[in-house]
Amino acid sequence: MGKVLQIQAQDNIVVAIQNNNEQLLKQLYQDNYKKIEYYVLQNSGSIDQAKDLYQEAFLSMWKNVKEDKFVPKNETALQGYLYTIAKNKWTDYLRSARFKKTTGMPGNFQIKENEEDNSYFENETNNKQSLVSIAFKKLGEECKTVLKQFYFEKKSLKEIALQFNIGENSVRNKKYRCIQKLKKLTITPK
Amino acid sequence: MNNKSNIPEKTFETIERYLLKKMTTEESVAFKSSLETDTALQQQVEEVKSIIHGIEEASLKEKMEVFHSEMETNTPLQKKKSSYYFYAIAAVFLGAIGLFFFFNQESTNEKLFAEHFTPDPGLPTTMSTTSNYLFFEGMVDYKMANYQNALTKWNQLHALKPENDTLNYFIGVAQLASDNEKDAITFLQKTITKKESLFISDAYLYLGLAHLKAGERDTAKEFLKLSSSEKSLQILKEIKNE
Repeated sequence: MGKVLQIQAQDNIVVAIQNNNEQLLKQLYQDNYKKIEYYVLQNSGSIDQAKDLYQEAFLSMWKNVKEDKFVPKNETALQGYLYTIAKNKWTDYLRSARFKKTTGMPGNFQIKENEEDNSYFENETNNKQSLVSIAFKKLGEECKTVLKQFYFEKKSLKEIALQFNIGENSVRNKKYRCIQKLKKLTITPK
Repeated sequence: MNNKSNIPEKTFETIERYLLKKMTTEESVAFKSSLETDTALQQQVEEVKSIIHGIEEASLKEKMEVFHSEMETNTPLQKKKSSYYFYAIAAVFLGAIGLFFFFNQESTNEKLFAEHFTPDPGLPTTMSTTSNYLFFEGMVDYKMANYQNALTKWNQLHALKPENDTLNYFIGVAQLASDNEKDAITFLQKTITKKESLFISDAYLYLGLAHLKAGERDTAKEFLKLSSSEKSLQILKEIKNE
């Protein structure tokens, strides 16, 4: 196989994840979903649950790599890690009271409609970061776009300014104002 | 989140530059040392950090929805196993083969080609470095049978790495799948110049098929003989039996 296909040094993967490289995240997401869906379906879960579980596992994987809690040696290690998180979360869920309750009732196999942030499996919803992420949904479109592009897509103020057709300084101010709004929304949830 | 601190814009931006690693080394050293003693600043850093990470988390959640829906629209034939791409491609080609039969009944070469040509299933699209994104992006297109898109991407790479056997091989197969047997031959010929290539046997097979499609049966036979694949043997057998 040509050199072009060699698995690259771990640094690159870690850096790419820390920079939220969309191409990498997308590939990882799409290449590994089916395996986990299959696993959940084989273990008394539904397709919707598989999706929720997978997204939470994916999020955990991403968080842990970002915070250097997990340093993948290569792509395969990362995929294995993702799979392990998903499996563990699913096992926890199957053991949980919620699962036993919903399946224990005869004639009612429906899992209760999930709450606002779609969290069947997440057990750290109460940390600040997650609260901010929930509040983020309530922001106006413009704020969302500015913040998303700056912090997630790592675009420069200049690039964002060009899109909005305003000056760089206006974007800087807007960004700060949006952060203030986000903080307010986070402090008073509901 | 508590309400105690309202971080002024200047401070916010300094902290932000620290967290996003946009400080110069000197600046960062100075910031770290004041951070060690200043507990108020420590709290502010934590707060800004959770805001930034929270925004990223929300953005990733949005992105995941997009990734997910893309996956669903791209794979109408949902299979439980990860080989669903393969089934999708196989289905497309079964259809294509059917059409081929319908329109090309008189040409036995074409018929043989249609009977035996299925594109290489492709490589797993796991990601590695930036320089390879284009290759794997092309591979995704390829697996979806969007050969033109795949070729556009790979041709850009080919300009940089004209000798790469992997690239030559897949460009060749994609060309053949797009009915450009002449171009397919050019690229596959390049692959077989590397005798140690992993693709060598398959490259001979596809070269054989390409020549078959071009109506050059004798040349096709020569290449098929060089390939160690079962399919080549099978085609050779069928040619003999005619």
